[in-house]
Amino acid sequence: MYRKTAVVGIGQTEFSRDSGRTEWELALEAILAAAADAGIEPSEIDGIVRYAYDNVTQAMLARTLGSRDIRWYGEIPFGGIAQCGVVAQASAAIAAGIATTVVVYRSLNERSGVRYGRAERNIPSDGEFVHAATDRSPAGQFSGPYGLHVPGQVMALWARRYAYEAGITVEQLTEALGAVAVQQRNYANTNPAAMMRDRPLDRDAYLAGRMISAPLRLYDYCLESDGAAAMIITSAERARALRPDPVYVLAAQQSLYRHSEPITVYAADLTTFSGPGNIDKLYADARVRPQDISVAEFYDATSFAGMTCLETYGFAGHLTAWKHVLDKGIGPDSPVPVNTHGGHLSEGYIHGLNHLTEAVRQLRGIAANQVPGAEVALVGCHGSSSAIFGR
Amino acid sequence: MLIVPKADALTEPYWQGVKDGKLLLQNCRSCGLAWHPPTPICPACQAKNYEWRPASGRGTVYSFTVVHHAAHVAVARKVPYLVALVTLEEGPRVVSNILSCPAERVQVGMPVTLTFQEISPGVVLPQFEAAQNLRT
Ligand SMILES: [Zn+2]
Repeated sequence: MYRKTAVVGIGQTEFSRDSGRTEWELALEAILAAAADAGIEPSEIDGIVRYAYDNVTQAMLARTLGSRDIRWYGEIPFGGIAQCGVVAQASAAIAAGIATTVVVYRSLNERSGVRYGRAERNIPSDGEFVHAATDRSPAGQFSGPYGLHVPGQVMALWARRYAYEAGITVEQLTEALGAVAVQQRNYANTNPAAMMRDRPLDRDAYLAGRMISAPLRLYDYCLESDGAAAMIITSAERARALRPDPVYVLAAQQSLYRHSEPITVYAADLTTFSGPGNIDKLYADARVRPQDISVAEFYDATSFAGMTCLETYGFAGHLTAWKHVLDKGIGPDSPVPVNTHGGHLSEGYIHGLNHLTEAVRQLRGIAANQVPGAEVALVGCHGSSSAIFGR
Repeated sequence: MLIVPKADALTEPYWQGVKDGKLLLQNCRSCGLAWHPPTPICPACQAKNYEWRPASGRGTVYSFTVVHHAAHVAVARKVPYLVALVTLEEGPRVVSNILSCPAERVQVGMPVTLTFQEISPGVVLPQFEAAQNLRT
């Protein structure tokens, strides 16, 4: 797959708390913007990869994009871990010659519509006795009756275990998570597209945030957002004909093994989020090493999830990311700037797609918080899906 | 409003066991693995010949959270409440609340033992409480 495909178009809507529009309209706005950015007609799109969570189907797009024929379409389940899976599957289809021009997208009215931080979507709330079914974690029959209902609570369980195994106090963990949240807010404050562009956050304000699921507090959690983002991926050859600055896919992959599905509580070790050899293969496929990464955009449903990606992707040793973010940080001058758009915590929650578009902007040199001379960008959802892009 | 478990074909023996005062785990007759949550075959050796065996009831707290912000209307008046992960002596992990112990005293690594809680007439959950020697 190395350099066989490239991103030629990106597009996004405004990120807001209430879009006032349907998810279908949002998806189309982002996709049409991505096609225009790529310099192609929407009808040239012949492949679609979607998140299974998205309510906008391939057929809805085929009907409205003027498509002649969609030759290949796929979808990826399990929520946010689709993030780089859509890149992997789009690139695989192009590299295999099945499709030439694939759109990946995510569109959601997650604030004004169905909120992922609520559990009523999984456990119906219309009766004296309401039933937690399936074995899903959280909110299934083995977790819902105990009050474990949403991913943010599971990540709090991960976080406390992490502190225990790292041999640090919950207060030390909180300082580290606060450093992540504050820096991501700093990035958002200089990103005009960020929902939190006008809302500063300092350490005191972070610590004053109310407890949500201890040890995680308000500002450890992602925003709830309405909006959409999209990317157009095509062959490297076609990409070079379309624009002078294609962003090449160096490697992209998915990973699934026993109890790695989100949001697990059953894996033997809940402080390690990636299968053995998985990340080694990612770097080998991309022909780079961690020290070659100019900028990283990590899936941050919580500050904890983003922070621990520093370990997953080899920037800090196991159980030491807390120290990395306190000593070196994730800011513009740190060894690897992380979530330069503000991430899910402060730009908006577009389910990881906005991390992909930020990586592309960084490699084009047009990001709001541009890392000077960025050559290689990493996007990852704690090892469950990952992609490395290069100029 | 009360959230109650809904059994399915695969998990029916587990919940029947709870009614009988046991925490049942699938145990592989071929390789000896004990596991949870239930699966149709042994996740380690793929054997189909498993049996449901009661867990010893001894475990340790793997982690816990105190939920301050209710994420479901059914628990809106229960917050704050504590949810723990308990690693059983046999290896598998289960979700539990920690009974007979104030949240401030719950610690990662503390030993806990199995008990049962009737959350509504006829609706029973396996639960854990602080091991006898730790209770005050
Ligand atoms: Zn076996």
